[in-house]
Amino acid sequence: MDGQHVSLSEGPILVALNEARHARSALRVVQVLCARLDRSVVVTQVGEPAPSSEEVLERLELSPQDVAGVIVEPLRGRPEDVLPEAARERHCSLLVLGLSPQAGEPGATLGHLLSRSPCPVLLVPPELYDRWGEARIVLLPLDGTPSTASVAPLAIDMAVRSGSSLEILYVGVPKPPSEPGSMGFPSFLDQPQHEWAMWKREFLYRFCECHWGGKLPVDVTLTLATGDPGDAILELAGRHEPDLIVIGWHGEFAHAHAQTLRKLLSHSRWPVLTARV
Amino acid sequence: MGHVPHRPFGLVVFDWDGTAVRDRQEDASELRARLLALMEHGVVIVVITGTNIRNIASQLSLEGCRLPRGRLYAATNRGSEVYVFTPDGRPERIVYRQALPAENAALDRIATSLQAELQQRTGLPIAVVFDRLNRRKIDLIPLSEWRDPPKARIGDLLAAVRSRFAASGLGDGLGFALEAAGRLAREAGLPEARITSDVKHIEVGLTHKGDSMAWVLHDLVPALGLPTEAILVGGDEFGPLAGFLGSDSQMRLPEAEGATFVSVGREPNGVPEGVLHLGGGPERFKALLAELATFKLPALPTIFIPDMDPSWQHRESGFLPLSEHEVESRFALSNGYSGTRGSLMEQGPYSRAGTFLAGVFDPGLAGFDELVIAPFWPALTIEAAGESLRLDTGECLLHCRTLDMRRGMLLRAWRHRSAEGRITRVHEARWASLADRRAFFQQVWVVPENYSGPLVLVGALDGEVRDLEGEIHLEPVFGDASPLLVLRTRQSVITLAFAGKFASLPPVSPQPRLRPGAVEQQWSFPGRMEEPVSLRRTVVVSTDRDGPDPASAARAHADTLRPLDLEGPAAAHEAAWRDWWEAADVRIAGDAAAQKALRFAMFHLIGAADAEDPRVSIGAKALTGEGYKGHVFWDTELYMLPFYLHTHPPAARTLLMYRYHTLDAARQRARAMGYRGALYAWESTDTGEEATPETVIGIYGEPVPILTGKMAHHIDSAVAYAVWKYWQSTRDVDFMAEAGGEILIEVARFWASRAEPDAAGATHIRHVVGPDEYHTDVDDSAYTNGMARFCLDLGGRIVAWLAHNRPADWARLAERLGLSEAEVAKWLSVSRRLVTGFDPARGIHEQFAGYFRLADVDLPPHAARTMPLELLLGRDIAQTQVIKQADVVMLMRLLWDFYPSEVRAANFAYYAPRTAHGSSLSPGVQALVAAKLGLTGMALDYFRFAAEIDLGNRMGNASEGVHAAALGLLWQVAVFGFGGLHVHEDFLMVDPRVPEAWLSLAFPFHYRGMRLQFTMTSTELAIDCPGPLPVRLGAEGLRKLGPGLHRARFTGGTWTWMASTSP
Repeated sequence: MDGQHVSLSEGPILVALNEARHARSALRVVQVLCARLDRSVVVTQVGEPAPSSEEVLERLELSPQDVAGVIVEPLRGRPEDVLPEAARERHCSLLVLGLSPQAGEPGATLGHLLSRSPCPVLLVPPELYDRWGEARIVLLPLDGTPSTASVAPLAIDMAVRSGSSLEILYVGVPKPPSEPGSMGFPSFLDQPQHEWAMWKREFLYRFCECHWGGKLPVDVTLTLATGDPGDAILELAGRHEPDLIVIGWHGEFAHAHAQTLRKLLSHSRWPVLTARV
Repeated sequence: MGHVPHRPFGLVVFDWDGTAVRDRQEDASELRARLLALMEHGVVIVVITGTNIRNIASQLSLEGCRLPRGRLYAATNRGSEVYVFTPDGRPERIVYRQALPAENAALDRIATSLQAELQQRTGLPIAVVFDRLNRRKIDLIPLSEWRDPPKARIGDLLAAVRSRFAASGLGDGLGFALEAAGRLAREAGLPEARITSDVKHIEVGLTHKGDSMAWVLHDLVPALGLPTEAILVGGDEFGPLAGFLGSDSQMRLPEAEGATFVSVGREPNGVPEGVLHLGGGPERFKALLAELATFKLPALPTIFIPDMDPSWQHRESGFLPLSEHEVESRFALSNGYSGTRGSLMEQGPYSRAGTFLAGVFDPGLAGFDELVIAPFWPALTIEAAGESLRLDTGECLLHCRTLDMRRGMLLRAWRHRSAEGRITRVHEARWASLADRRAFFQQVWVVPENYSGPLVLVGALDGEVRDLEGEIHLEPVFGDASPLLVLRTRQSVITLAFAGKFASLPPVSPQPRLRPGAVEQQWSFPGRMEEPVSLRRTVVVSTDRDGPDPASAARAHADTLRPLDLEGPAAAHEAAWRDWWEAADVRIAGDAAAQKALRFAMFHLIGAADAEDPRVSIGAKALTGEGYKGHVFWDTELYMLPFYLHTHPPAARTLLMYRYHTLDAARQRARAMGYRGALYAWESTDTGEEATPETVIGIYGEPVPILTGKMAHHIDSAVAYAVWKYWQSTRDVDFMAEAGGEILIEVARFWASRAEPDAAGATHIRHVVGPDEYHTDVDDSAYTNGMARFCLDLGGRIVAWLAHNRPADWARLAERLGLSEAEVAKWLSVSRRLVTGFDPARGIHEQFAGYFRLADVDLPPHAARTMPLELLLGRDIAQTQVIKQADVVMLMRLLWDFYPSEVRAANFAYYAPRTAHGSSLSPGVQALVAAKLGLTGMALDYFRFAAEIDLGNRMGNASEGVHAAALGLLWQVAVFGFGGLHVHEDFLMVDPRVPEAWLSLAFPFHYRGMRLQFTMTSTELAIDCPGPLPVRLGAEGLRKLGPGLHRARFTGGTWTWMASTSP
């Protein structure tokens, strides 16, 4: 409705993997979440010099059966340069990368990749917990600003395609957002039998329906939290075990920016789909 | 030299002296004729001048002329004022920049400092002219031969000033003076001061011509829907002189890019780039005006031009879909019978459109009645050259919605450019008639600006309206192409009929399209460039609440309206609003934001009431949105009703009659709960039955019990209190004998049965919820018990009054109610023994039993919280002394005279810091009590907080309607708080507390059949009194004022009467 929202293009999905421990989980996530996207999938590994296709499969410990219907296309160069370029050239809808939680602060390479990617990036942890894919929940954290909510169509789209419900987590920030159209927590809940429902309706309208263009085609729950947004997301994810966390970020990774995304990249046990807003 | 573009201009702006007239003595009759001809063509005229309005008006001499409304303006006094010329040629001030005392002092300081500095540097005499509005003039050459130099001698004047300074040793005297003026302005705290020079003077002011032009560009042009290319600006001094640009160059603001600027002056040093130099003086300018009158222009009908006084406007420029719901609430149009949200006529996924009809309820999903959403009658789509015009497609070149509060109209101007570059200009005016409450009117005007192509307009009455839960309350009954649409509520079985009547210019026959539950009409025009098409629609609604056969009634009513002539209904509607405003308008000088907020409050309050329908009351969101489901709370009696009582008493009576009509339901409710008398519903609809749910799903998904429906019994006291206040102010004997007395008796009877005696002989009221809903199920709430005592005593008093004054009525009533003297005696006994919670040691009331034992919480650290305090503190909030809203303080406010001043002050001092303002009602009550206690600064802060609840969406929930009670409180703060009015049993107390920041406060006040007029400042008071009036002024004794004007002054900390003037 406002022309600013993020969505998936029609292009292929580029799965770039370095380590074997990511390969199976990444392919599984792509198969489950993106099954109905009807996009071709390209698996790549970047090296200098570029490895052969056979070397890629060998390093990722994948058999030809594992990659049936998938294009294997090694690339040469530095990942942070080559992958965004490849995604741009191929008009990719999605770039899939391995996520290494507990490996400390995300490095500069990942920051460059996220900043330069022309399409949303799906980060997949090396091991999915046993019951991954059963919860059928897409978690969408929001901060009450229209810009961050511009990834809502992406989350709704993924929820629709995977038959999931949408769980929105609104984390109130210490300073009410100044961006036009923003919404903070209700200042009060006078007559909660009316006020809470009113506030919730307006919140969902502004940050989901407005971006989606109408009533949402999925079941939605809205949860509130305060405190550090990253902690709040991880805490809720720990309780509900979502299949996917969708989060927008403003594109600046350096100098202590993107604290919430950094925390997710460092600690998330769940696939994280992120896009610049 | 250049040529003026050969095309029409919709707005002509020009300087006066030297451009329009040679001098002030010139006969301006030719100019007047030229301007009148242009205005007849639809051109809007603005004079921008440094002089005052008297000079302009007397030279133009428009008396006896008939002017089109809203087409002639004069921006005078160097940007400090704007006048509109009324249709009979009188100038009426609409913008007034009034310097605050501190600003005037700063201007004086700058002028005298500059004078001293120049005199010290040069030894020359330098004079200061002080008596100019918002500016000071420092005369650099106060010599008799240069007293009033004509513009033609400006070169000589410049030489004289230069040589005068040079001779005194200051080479660039003018430049030095300008620089020094800037420096002194910064030092004086006026860094934005406008510093200009006409060579003879350095002028230091708060405004200049640029401010006039800013008003033109920011206020006038968007309302007219014009692009800047349609603006012609004429002057005679654009070019540089003595090193600085001429005064007319101040009009060349960056936002004016695209406008045509022409100079008819001499411009000895040329004109800046972008200004066409025509020369030729006023004669050339008049010739130019004559040329402009030869162009054919689509003349915007004057109905689309809003009242340009900004204090009467609420405006929204641009379009942000995210905020659209709250905009729709603020722009809602109501007349007590209906309310229509201010949604866009073409609607969109961002719209929450709807019409509400007072009293039309139907059960919702939860089983409780809710206000039904009826068809959005203004619905209209426009298709231009095959493309639907929408704000979310193409490019929005201009979009401006104005709520014209004086006229009660919603106006819209919109310029849309399609992807193919087609520009369409659209204007809409709509109103819900205050003169004919069942009639709606809409006029739409569409111009294809740069193309020719088909224009298709489709108007719809669509009964398939879903509420916020997606439920449809209406089912179709009948529809025809006349058009007529008949619908019926699904469960309450109320029939609604909408009948329309339409006319278009050029006339075309609409093609009807019918489907179940909807009627559409389609008008197709060939659409030619620059040729407007116009559609006028009237829609009448009738329900079987109004009478039998609503379809025939609506059709017959619509047939009496002639849609081609909307001027008549518009004039009647405007007259009805004018009458209301005369009875209600509160005028504040010196605080534009407060003035606008109060007008906004009164606008929605006026629209909320229908004095002719005693079967309905006003819901928490009035008729502006779905919020609170249209339910009626205590808000109406305590927060809104005083406005009606003192501006239009019949409306207050009607609201009380609603409570009388629902008295039986209240009796049943009391009986069902095991009590006697009557207990009003906490949430009431048309039946008076309780509509509060018992449980809801809370913010964390947990079930939350809702106890207000079971325990907020103080609603009864609110109704009784309102009856008493109505009685005090009107002495409406018939009302008291026929309705009010019975309400008071049943309320007293309820409280007597509700109170429980203890072994020690005291009585208690246990298990209640007071106004502070953070603490539920408490015993002996000070507010509840205090108000119950009042009601018990009042019951006894009213029984005595009825027995004495209306013995026959009383006998019938006593028999019908089975009321005995013993029962009345018991009321008084219960009242005397009811615990009050007063702690004599501390001089304050304990809010409820055990409150003082709760943990004290320091609230200031939570001031910047991002979530409601009850969520932040969780359920623990009930274990603290943090309170949701004024509770004991509200008791002090309502029963002011019952408590000693030290108790009132002590309670406020104790409870105000513990109040979290978890209700939109809270800041207004705090403001009111603070003002009455003389804490004016604190009161003003609270007032501003309250003013922002809807205008700033301060509480984040304006999307589903305005907060009618908070709006009523704003009026109360102004009149009872700052105005200091207090209605006693038999006299009026007046003790004004006007904030010093307000230059004046004025309002009418209806009391005992008279409309009094109050005008006051922080030190002066005037009461215009049409009849005898007992008044107590401040600490003075009671005085009976006769008819006439009475004045008083505040000196030495007290008010004292001055001389009076008889009429």
